Amino acid sequence: MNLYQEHILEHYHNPKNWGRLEHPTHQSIVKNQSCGDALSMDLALQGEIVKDIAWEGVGCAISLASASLLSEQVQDKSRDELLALTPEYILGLLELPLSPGRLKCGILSLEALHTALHSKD
Amino acid sequence: MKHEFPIFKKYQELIYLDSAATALKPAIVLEAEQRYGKEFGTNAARGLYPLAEKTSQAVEEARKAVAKFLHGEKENVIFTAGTTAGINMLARSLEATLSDSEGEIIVSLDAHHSQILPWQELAKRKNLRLHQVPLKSDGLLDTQAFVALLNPDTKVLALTLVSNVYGIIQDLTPLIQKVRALCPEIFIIVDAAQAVAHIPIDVTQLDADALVFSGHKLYGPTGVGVCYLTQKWQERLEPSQFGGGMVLDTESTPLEWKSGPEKFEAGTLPLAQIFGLQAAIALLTSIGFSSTRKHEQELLTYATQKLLAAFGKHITFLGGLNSENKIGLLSFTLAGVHPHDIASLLGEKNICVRAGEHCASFLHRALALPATTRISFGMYTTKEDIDVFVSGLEEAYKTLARS
Repeated sequence: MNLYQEHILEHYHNPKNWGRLEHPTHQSIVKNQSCGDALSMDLALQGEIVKDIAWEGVGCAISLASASLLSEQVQDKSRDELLALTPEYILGLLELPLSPGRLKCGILSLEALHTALHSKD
Repeated sequence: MKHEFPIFKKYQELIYLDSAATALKPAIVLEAEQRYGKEFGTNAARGLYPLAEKTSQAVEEARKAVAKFLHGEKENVIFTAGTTAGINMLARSLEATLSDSEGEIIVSLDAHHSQILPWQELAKRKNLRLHQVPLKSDGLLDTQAFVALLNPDTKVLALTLVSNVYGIIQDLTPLIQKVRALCPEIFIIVDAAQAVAHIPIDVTQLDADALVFSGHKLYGPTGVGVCYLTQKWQERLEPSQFGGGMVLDTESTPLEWKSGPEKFEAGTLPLAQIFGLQAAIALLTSIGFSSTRKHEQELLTYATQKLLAAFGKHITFLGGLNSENKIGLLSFTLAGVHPHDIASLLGEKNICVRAGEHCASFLHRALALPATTRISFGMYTTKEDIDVFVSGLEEAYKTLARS
């Protein structure tokens, strides 16, 4: 199956919610050591609810598209709801069956989100 | 040449540019492995019946063929499971000769993980200092930097004949000669994994104490390798693996080991694979390195020129553009495009290239590169393969390059 489908390339070339927040309440930086991918994520929470998100990163098309797709799903969701998200959820967003070799690229965004949500723990 | 390699019958569209990871296997190697099962079938160096003796004799013939291939002595050829197994075995055996907290190990930074991690672990166990020596900016070995580190405490020098990232054939002789003069007792081990399929090796002239390689990088089977170890160190080192075939007297205290390679070959050898290795060596010898070198250098020059014409300033090659001192291997980065995306997109077109750190994370970190793309050639690689690869890469670049 072709990994580089239109929706993936669209998010890769025009990532959503790209950048930094002025007043983040939660932040993370995560890296995939084996391929050099790195994502930084800013969240603004009101109480338990995510109100805003921004992220930046370097990496392959799969990891960047995944972060862009995920960033569209988090607004107005609760912390617990987001902490319950699984790698399978991300694969659903990507609409791709990733090989074990590329799975880490696909789910780096989820690691960034969860690390940020835990950053005040 | 492709018709000699059965994999191309199954995958006719295959463009295989990852021979540095493992070379494809020619029919004569696969047949030799089968021949062991069909015509020999017995264990070696054990049974006294004729068929067992025939196998023992065949293994010794293979040992002789390896020695001739390396321009060395048959008695120094130890069969192993591969490069990694050979280096780990030596690191374990050397451990018994070292005192705690006394000594240093020097490793060249172009080594792949199997020529660094066993030494790093040994250094940790014995509390020794480990130095990793960077290359010069042109990718060549910095002899002076090594010599500057040498001192009477240096116990091990671990060198790489050809790096799997640069592909540069390092001239190790001047360094080894200097080290011999300054520290005669140091143990010098050369990793020839990437060299052995591409350049003639003369262990006698090289004068290392040990040289290791794997069968599968020279068109032979996986699961077999060679550790060439000099007599002096065979006598000095204790075995690190124990079992059948290596002990002389189980009643003596301490136990008495056999002498020669058997001392380091506990258990049953990978016999079918040894047959295959011998066939691979015979094939390479019959073609001749002058012919394979010429072929690889032509491909390297051709690929470099085509890539430069296609990508100009957007492509950066590791280890420069000189094809004279390289094996058929080229690592590069393409501005704005991640190597994993390149490898995935090319993979969808049956073009096999390597992306990542190539088990050389220390070197990549030193170069501040997260990953590179690598192509590497074998005797079956053609200019048409390069053409398909370059147009595939151009297409991938169009899809992925971000303005």
